Amino acid sequence: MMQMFKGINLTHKLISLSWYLLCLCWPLSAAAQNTDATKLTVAYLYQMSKFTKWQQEAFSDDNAKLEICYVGQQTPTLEALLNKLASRKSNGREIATHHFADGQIILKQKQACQLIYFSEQTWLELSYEQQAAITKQRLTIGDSKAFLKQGGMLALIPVKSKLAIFVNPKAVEQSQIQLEARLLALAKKVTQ
Amino acid sequence: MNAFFSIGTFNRKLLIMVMATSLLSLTLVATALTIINIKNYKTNMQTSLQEKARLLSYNLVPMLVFDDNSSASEAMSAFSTNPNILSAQVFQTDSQGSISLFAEYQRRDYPSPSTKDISSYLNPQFSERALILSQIISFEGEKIGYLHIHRELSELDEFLQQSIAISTIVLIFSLIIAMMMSVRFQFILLKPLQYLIDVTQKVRDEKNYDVRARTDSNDEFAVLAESFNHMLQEIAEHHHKQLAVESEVRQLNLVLEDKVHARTLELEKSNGELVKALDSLQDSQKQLVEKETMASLGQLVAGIAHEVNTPVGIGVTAISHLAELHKKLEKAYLEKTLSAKDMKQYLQTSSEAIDVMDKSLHKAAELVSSFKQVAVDQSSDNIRPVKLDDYLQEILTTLKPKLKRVSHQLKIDCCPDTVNCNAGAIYQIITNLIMNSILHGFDTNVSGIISIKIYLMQDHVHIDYSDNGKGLSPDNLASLFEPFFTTKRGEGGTGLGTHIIYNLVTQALNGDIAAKSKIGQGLSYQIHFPVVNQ
Repeated sequence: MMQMFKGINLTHKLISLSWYLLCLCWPLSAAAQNTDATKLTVAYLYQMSKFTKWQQEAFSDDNAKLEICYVGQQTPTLEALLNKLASRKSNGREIATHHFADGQIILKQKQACQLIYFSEQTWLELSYEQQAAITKQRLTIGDSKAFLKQGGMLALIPVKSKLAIFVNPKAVEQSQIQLEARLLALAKKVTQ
Repeated sequence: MNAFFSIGTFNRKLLIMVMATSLLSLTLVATALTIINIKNYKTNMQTSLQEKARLLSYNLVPMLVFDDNSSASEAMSAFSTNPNILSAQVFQTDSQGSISLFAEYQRRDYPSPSTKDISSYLNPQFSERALILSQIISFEGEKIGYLHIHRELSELDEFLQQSIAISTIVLIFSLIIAMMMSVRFQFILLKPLQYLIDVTQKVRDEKNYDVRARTDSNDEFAVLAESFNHMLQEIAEHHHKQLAVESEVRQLNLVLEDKVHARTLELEKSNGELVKALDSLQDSQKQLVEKETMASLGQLVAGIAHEVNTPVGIGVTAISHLAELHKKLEKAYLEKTLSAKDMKQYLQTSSEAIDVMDKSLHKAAELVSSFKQVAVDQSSDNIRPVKLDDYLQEILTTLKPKLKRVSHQLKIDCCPDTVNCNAGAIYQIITNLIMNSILHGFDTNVSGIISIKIYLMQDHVHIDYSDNGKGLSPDNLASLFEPFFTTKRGEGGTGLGTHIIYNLVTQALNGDIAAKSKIGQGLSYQIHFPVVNQ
């Protein structure tokens, strides 16, 4: 958000801020904010896939797509963003996106889902065994520190109008996933 | 350079050359090394900065990707531990290609650098104070930002000063060592040369060619010493030979002086004898000339006698006939048988006899008178007036008896002028010329032509005499006027005729004579002498 105000003088900033506060009071403003957060989250997921290395066993073959899965409430914006993401590549692999309302479906359907984003409480709804089964060869990303404390690997948490990256080093170490050191250096550590 | 070679001893020159060469070489090496070191240092600085920039760029990627400028600033602040980094800026590039400052580090004493033309520093560039580098930050092949670093150059200046200081110290130490080694090696190297100099001085001072230089250095000086010794040996041999030759020359001079003295005495003696012989020869020549003159006179007398004999004989015959007629007339008168016819015949015959006698006697008288004059001229050196044509005829008259015996033709062309001259000399000259032509110029029974042309020109009488006889060879012509030269040796020729002609022309007449001749083309004389015209 602060990026928006770069290069604008103080008067304009005040006007913009007033306008922004006014918008907060507007009922539709929450929906717009959610849309921006979703955009940012999907973009971070895509970028994080570039800093991650999976075991060869995580893919069925060399031409297999990188599956990015979103577990949580489905919205039109999210669907559109996931569809848009499916047209890109990461680390030379094509990307396939999936949406699941529940994390257990992934296990039941034996979805590859090399990168899974658990929104809100979806992670906490899983049992410990299910969480362990998922995190073995998958990069799990959540949206709270609780996610990390419950065995999640990374979390995208808003801090000062930005998404900050947090990491659970123990979960990363126990998994077969390799995160690039420069990403880990950026991430703030949260212990279980 | 010439000034350098004209100063000091060889030792000093060598020392200066070694020191100069060392200084130059070391300076060049030190300069080259310093330049190379600085270049390498700069390259290292560039490489080091590039490596740092690449590493930092790599780590900045997630910060730019995840828009984490606080982490980027934190990463930049790590440069505070490196005092050489003046500033470091991270720029973010958006999808439209515009650039914005993302994070930066700046040393306090360094002003904020311009953000313009960041992309022009992709290759490191040295400015006045800093090494500037821009590094592209890219991710997955996409340019996402720039890292722009300014590195301080004071370290380079310190390195340069340090290099120069070290080079100078090394240079000074090297020169000191070079000087010490040069002095030491000079003594060793020039020792054989010093030996050689000592030997040359000894040779010069003592004239002793038997000393020899040392040849134990096994270098060029040894070769020089050997050559010098060889030269000394040759000089010694030459010197000994010269002494021997000088001694021999002195001995020979002594002998030669004796010989010269003896020869001088002999020559003096011979010279005296030659003088006597010459005197004797001159006497003989004089006698011969006198004899020749006498012979000429004899011939003159014989000629006179012959010429006078004819008119006198005619006169005698006429007077005898007249006497006989007179006796016959006297007898007839006494016997009284004298007739008028007889008387008339007597008178006619006597008249004719008297006439003949008169003519003959006049002729004889004329001849005698002429001969008398010639005789007088021949026997004296009197200078008198001479009418040239008449006198020539008188001379030819005296020669008639000789000319009658041959069939040669005389061609005379003489001017009628009268001049004062030595007539006797002219007589002898003409007579000798004609007699030489008759006796030597023609073969027997050959009719030749003798031409005599006498003319007066510019108070000089010119006589051009020539015959068309056998002529003379060049050798004989060259000896023509020498005494006793004759082509009829042993046939009565004395060889004095032309010599007398020469003497008469040159001495009696004070004139000149020249002769020209070729074999088969006769002989000619050109005579001229001064006279006083009447």
